[in-house]
Amino acid sequence: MFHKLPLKIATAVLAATSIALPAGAQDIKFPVSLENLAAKAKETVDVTLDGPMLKWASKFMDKDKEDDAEAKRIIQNLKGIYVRSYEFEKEGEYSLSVVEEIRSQLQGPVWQHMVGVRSKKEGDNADVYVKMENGQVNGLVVIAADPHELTIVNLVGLIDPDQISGLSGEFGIPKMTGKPHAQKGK
Amino acid sequence: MNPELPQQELRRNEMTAPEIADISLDALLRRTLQREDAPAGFAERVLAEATRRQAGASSASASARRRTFAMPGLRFAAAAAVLVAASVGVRYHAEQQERAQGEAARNKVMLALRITSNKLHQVQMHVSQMSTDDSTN
Repeated sequence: MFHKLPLKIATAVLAATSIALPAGAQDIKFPVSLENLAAKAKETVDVTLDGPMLKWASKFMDKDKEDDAEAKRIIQNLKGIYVRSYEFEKEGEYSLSVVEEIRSQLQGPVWQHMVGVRSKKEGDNADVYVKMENGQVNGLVVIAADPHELTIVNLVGLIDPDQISGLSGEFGIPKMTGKPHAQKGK
Repeated sequence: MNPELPQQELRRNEMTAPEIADISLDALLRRTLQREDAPAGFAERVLAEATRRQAGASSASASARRRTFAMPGLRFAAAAAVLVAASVGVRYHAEQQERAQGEAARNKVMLALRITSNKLHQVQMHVSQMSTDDSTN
């Protein structure tokens, strides 16, 4: 009977650790309903990279390549990158309640809704939130929801505001022009 | 004629010289080619000798091997060489695995940043479009 006790303790510790770890670095918790979309999606992108993994990845970035050098610069102060992207064959394969569940986590005082786009014509919705702590951007959440695609991005850690706008000019994406307008809706 | 002489000798006296030579050769050949049995125990002795020589040869090589590995330095060197080869192999495999994991992590980072960049760009495009629409209205 006694020999089963250490096993039970180990199981409990493991269970507690596995529950605690994802919440440790991530700013927002991806709801189960979001993760379940993978079963319906035509294409799924699931990226979960914590601090040590980012440091590890940066060692394999070639400083002579422009994209690698920029990525290395961006991730040097990040504690985590979490991306979920689902592409669907047909419209209406996901409920907007999933998006609302995520938005509801971004209501605290540290979160600032930087940009909001609502396009009734095309059905596109997009939100950019930044986490402000001690006057610094300490996190970024991008929610992009259109009828065929849902993408949630969460960058955790210190982000240079210039990097946010600069991100759109990197990795083969054309550079942004002008400054984004806060809370713009349609 | 001498009655004491054997019959053959009697006949020889009556034969010509070549005939006498033929008889002697024939007898000589018959005696030479006569089948003779091997002495008793010859086969056993041959087999025993062959077995003895074979055993001697293998025990010599075994003892040579024993003598070689009985040298402590050589034994240590062999063990060290095996250990070094094994550790080099294990390290190489571990490095290959680490490299593959690192490359995979790098690719994930690049993918994540590309998606983030793309989405931010789309947001910017929407905002720019709205600004243009507002200014024209």
